[in-house]
Amino acid sequence: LPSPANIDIRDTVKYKEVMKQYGLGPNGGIVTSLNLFATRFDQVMKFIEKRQNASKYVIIDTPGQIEVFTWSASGTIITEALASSFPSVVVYVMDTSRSTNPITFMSNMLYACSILYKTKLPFIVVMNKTDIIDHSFAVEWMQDFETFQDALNQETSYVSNLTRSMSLVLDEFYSSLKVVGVSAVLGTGLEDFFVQLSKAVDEYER
Amino acid sequence: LVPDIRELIEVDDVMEDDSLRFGPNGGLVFCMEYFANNFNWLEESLGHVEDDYILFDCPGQIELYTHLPVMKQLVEQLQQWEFRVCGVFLVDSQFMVESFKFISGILAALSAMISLEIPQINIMTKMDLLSKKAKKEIEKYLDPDMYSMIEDSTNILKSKMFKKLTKSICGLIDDYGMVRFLPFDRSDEESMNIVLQHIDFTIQYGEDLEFKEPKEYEEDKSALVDEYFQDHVDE
Repeated sequence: LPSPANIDIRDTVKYKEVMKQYGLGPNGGIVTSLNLFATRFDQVMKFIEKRQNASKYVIIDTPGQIEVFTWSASGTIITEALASSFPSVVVYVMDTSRSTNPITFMSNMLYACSILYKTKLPFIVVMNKTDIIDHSFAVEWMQDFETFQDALNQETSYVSNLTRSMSLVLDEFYSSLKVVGVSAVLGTGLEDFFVQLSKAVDEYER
Repeated sequence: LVPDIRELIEVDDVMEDDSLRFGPNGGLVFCMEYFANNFNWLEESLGHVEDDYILFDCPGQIELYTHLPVMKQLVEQLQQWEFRVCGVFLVDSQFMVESFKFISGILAALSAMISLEIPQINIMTKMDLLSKKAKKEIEKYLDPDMYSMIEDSTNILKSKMFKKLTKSICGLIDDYGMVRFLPFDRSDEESMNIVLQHIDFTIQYGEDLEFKEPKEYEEDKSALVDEYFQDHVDE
């Protein structure tokens, strides 16, 4: 989906300069850049308000290192600012090709669940790179508890009763989720994505 | 006598390398993989260790644990060198004060725990920085019957969407002590002792899982603690 960004954080904050100016390492640089951006976020909000009639959806791309956004004060501020004014939906993008290991998958899903509790917003899981590998294995794991457990037991025996209990928790989690498989490269799955997105917006409105 | 990975490789250098051309994420991944291919450097840097706790301060990015085999390789290597390994998961207590956030923290801890498959202790840090009211709030969540203790002013937690899920998570926390969070206050020696005791106990527990000859290894008790997910609070 080739679309240039309307607002590029690089216009407001320059990452490398922030690092130099404050004498920070790469993480510190990203966090501080986000902080600086957050202080100007009201401008972004105004921009969104102005364009409300022109665009149906506003997509916000968050930093690649997820903790920077989900576990920082700035990320929280930005999320809450958006959610209190506009219907907001969290889109959790997963790399399908890197989630074929049931342990990785479970770890990823638990983390997604943790974000759900943080934001308390409707949630869509997008499994990207379906051009490399189809996401039906994941859907099966999410719909059939036993197949997931079997796959998991083959990988590990680490505290198996705990992981079994965790799988049951995840089972509940899946029922509150929407899942879509897409391929950003090929552009497939996007129709379904927008359908789920509309449903998610309805959820928000309830 | 602290080995610093920057003696081996630095993200800045990697990012500036023209032939590689990485951004901050790519640079980090490259460094981690480089580290994993050079464990002999670590072995030399550690030198001779006996009966010491060694702390590894690890990056906070979860992708490094879930999408790369590097940390797992490190754990396996350390175990091959006969270290006992325990994970310590740190979350700033200020991020855990509200019931939703607390549950969020637990889930993140679980997420990390199963990635590495080693015994893990979860710690809420900086308890000394919390207000009295905040401390009381958190104490509620440390209660054994968690679900009934959870209050929620927004009523979302017990709403249709969240109720069953919240209940099952609380059940998990109640059933498994391993999942609980320990409070940590740097200024309070007792809290530090409690954490240390838990770590010792956990390492023994790990021993039961992996080594079948516990008595023999009692003297050679070189323990190793992985410290990771260190949250940096915005200053």
